[in-house]
Amino acid sequence: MKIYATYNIKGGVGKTSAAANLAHLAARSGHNVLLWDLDPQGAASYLFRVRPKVKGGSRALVDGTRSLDDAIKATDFDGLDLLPADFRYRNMDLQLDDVARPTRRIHQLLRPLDGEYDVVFLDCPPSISLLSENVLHAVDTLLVPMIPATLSVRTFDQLSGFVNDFDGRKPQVCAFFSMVDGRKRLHRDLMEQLSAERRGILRTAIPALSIIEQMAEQRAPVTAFAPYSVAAKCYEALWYEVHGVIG
Amino acid sequence: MNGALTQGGYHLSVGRGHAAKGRYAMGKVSRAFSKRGAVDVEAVEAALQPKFALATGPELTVSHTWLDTFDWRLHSAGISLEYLDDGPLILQFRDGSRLQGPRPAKWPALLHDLPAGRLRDALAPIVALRALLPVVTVQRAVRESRVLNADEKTVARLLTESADDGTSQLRVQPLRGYDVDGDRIARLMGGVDGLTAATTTPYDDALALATRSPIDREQDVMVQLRPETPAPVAIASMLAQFAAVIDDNVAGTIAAIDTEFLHDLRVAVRRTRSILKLAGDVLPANIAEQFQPEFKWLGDLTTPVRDLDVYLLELDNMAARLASADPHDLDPFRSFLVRHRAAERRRLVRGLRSRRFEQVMSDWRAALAQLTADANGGPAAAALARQRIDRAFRKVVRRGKRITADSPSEQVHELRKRCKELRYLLEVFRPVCADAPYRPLIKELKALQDTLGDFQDGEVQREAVREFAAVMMEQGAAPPATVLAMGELAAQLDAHQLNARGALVGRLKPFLANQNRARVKALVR
Repeated sequence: MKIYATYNIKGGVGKTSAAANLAHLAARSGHNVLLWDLDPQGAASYLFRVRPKVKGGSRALVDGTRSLDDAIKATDFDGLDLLPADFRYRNMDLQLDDVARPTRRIHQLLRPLDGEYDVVFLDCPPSISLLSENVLHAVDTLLVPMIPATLSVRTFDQLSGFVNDFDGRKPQVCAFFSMVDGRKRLHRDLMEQLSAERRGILRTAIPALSIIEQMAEQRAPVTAFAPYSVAAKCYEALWYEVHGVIG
Repeated sequence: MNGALTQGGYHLSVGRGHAAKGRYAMGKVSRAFSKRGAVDVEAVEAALQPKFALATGPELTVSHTWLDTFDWRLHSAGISLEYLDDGPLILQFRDGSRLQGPRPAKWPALLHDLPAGRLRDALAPIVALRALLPVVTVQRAVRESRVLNADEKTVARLLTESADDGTSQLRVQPLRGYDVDGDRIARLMGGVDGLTAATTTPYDDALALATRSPIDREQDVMVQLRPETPAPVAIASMLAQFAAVIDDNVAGTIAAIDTEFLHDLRVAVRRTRSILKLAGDVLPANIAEQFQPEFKWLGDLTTPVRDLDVYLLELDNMAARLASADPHDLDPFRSFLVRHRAAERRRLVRGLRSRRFEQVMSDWRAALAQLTADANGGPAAAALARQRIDRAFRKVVRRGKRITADSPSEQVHELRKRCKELRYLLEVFRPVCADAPYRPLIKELKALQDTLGDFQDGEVQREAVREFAAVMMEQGAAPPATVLAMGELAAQLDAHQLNARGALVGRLKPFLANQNRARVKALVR
């Protein structure tokens, strides 16, 4: 079971779009896939038309009174299941703090699903918190969508530094440019410069396209409702690059 | 969105529920319905409103193939294994949960021909050594529709399948996490005019069109032996059943579909020989004397291949236990066994295709039919059962009492044969035996036979390994490492036999106790 997370401290950078499309592509290629919508705002749950509610909320999941398995819902797409968001996830940090080994809890909770899923995506809320630390410890690969801007890159560097200080198992950190506006010289220059300077930046970039924004109207991944669109092709290339790089 | 049927997704949708097994507990609400005539989509849609809407898929004609082992293991376990057109394999459990996996390159397929994965893991304990064969293929008009909730989220799939005989089936398949909706939808379907809870599965319905069916076998078992049945009729009908098993397994043995065909054929031959020996005297006109040599010939014909099958099946386990040698050192031994088996199989196939075999079996069937038609009078089956079981048990006791930890192997071997005879008698006379004494008796006998089997197999295999080593060296087919590994193998078998010998006396004691004597006395009503 390969665990990915889409993560960025900043919000509105295309985390949920990436998680939803990559998860859909993974399922379409024959994997059994779980997407856990960890963001209390529930955008991924909304996209898949699943009600953002988990019985007992995050407390029940974190303290183990309810298994993840119990809360999982099938999406409309074969092979793709969703663990929905719940507004009570906003308190997850406090609940995680109450258990033993608080930074490893999410990893522990996911372990029993090993036989059932080939690929897991965690769609994380934008923040730096105990939950995000849990996610960093749980995943094999961290996918960091990044708007081409100097400040975004600074955050990426901070994140890489943080992960590098981990003892033992470290996730692979892969950033990709997201919401790229090809008409902006700044975007083009920064992308070129940063890709040359830094390791861990993927070649594929996701452009800012209105069809990606339409996901919220269509309530489906763009790879499903517009499989031949430029956006879908970009996500395919991203998935190919990520899956190819990471095996 | 899903584009299910149009993009060939029907296969995926049916299969990729990938719910954990046991998740779809069917509960009290039936989720499968049948109907005379076609399912009226508009009536279904109306019944679902206002809570649910229906997104109707197109109707497609698909070819639907089911698979099973020759002895219907999947059917007996309440499982169906199927595929649609060129889609993947779908394993459906009794509770409605499903697994999906890629198809093997060709049928029949043994377990190791299937790609590794959860589907293969789930089949392994049921299928074991048997090959999976296509049982029946039917053309069905199918339609997959989606049931949507107020958020236009799919909560269940409705699958309709129409057969040529004008009947239709409708199945409600809730998506994972939507069982409550699934039950609600199923209840709504129960109210649709003409839909009734299905009593059969699509596999059952398709089996009606198959050339073979599990019912043939069940009916055989159903030929009930009654206590008052005249003994010659009872014996003849048992023998006729064994003859049918022999006939059933010839084609699969010749085609080498799996090793169990030959095994089952041999068991039927051995049972035939034992019954002829132990109760053949009730049959008229020297029938037993006439056919005993023929079945001995048939038994002997099948022995070498079966022995080699056993070595080959066991070799991996034995190789894994080697402490000093590398398991790969045994590779030349494996190749030798495979070559040897191929030669022995040619001989076996020649025998099974021979005029002699054909003649024996047709004469045998004719003789048994004649017997059943003519038989009149003679002792009742119950009386015969009482007498012969008692006699066989006494023989076991007599031989068993002489066995000590130091007894020569031949004596143990003799005891094993007597135990087998007792077992066959208990099995064939099962219908006239009382349950209470039968169950513990057969259980203890089985345990004893297992120990005897361990002992005997250890002995025979050890000798065989030595002989094989000698032949391989003669042929220059045995590198030193292989001979050494085979030496270690023989030593292992020695140790195994020694263990079995140690366990034997312990197992014998309870079996020979007075309690079993009393059970045998109370056995036949």
